[in-house]
Amino acid sequence: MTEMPPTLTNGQLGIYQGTYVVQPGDTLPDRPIAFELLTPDSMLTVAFSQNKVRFLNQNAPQLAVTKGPLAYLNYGLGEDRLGGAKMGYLDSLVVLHITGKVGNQYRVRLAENQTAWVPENNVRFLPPGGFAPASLTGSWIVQGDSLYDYVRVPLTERLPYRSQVLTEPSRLVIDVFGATSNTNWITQRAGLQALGDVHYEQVQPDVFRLVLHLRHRQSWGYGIGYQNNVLTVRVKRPPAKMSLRGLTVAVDAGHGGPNTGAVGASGAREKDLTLAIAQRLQRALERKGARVLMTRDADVSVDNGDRILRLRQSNPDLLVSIHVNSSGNKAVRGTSTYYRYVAFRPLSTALYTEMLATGLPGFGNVGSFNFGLNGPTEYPNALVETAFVSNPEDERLLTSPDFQQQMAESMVRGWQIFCGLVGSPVCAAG
Amino acid sequence: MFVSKLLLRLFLLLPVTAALAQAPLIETAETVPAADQWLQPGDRLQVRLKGQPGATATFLGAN
Ligand SMILES: [Zn+2]
Repeated sequence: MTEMPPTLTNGQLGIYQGTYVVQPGDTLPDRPIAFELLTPDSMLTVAFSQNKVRFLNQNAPQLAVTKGPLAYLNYGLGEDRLGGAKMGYLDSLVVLHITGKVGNQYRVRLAENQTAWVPENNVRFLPPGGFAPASLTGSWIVQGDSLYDYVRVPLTERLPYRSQVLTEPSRLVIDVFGATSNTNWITQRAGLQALGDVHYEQVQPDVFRLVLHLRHRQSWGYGIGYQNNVLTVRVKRPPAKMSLRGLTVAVDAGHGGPNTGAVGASGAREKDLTLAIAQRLQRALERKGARVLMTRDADVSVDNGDRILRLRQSNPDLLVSIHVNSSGNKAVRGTSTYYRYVAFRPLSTALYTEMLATGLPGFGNVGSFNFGLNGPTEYPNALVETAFVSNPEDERLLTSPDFQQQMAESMVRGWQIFCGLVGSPVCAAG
Repeated sequence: MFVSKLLLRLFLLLPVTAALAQAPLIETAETVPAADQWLQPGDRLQVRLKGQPGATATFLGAN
């Protein structure tokens, strides 16, 4: 180890650092690292790290499968109040090749030079002796039923995947890791409405990419999962009649119960404000003929994971999540909207435009937002941080029943504009 | 807080014992990051030790 010069340690003496690159054949069972310090006067001290280190044997690959309905991959080991940046959700029983661990996350080898991280409570280890996950792809069947368009790609095991909707032209791109093409034809059957050209590329020997062009500029969402070992992509179509009448819209009042959220100087609580605005939004939407799903309609605690699961089951056409912002700086105020995927940016933008029309100053329209309820790809969704409860003027507005009503009606108009954006004047007219 | 300061002051007034004279040679010895780790060939094991300056520190029985 090297004793660091004090210029690199804020003047501290006696800081030693060392690096060891693990070599093939090295073994180390799960155990603390032993350190020795030998002084010039030959005093020897031994100490052990608190944490344990294990060197994996590459000749015995560690395999695990995803468990639970909300397993997900992270890009790296980052942590903040939103958790690590997420690569996306995975179906259950997806086989992952585990090549390392740091803290409570395992490193996953997705493909040559491609890694991800998975929280330890998202996986279950398989007995030793298995092979690293890999599969040839079979020939696809692409077809529509009365509800969705589907792409089905047969594999010999459930491989991990990553997806995104790219715009202009609008297309769904899915990378399947460990997959190599033996797709020798793509059969397209009757009933397709949302999908246009579908094809694939082998972007590297072990990454197979589905490229699914969408016929509508606006994506209304999609889901990816497995039926047995068949990768199944379910693509949602735009609503048949572009009108709030008949649409199922989900309204999520943030926080609730013991989870109070932010609190203003005069005592206004985020959980009460979000519920009040959400209930006004619910009534306004119902007056327009929409079916409204509330993730909560009382002062109760609902875990964000449970909200996501319930939304996935009830399969809404749209979601807005309502929150109240807060800052340590009392002068900061204004409204802001948040989306995760560029495909859903038009919804967020429309909501932002209408929230600004209430007279609130703008705090921004924010993309790539790593918040749980912005994670689902199954329906367009956005989050509205209505205003800052930490700012006295915003707090006054947030607690005013009239202004709550105004904000609810702005969100309804945002949705109408969003629907108008996708090509039909019917919804925009209400 | 006050009590512990008081105790510390009393302690410092006591005759210096051998144990007290000898600050621990190693104060802390940790992996970086300080977390349980599984590593494979090619991965880096990083460590940091805080101790008496001017000494020779080793880990894993090497330099
Ligand atoms: Zn909140």
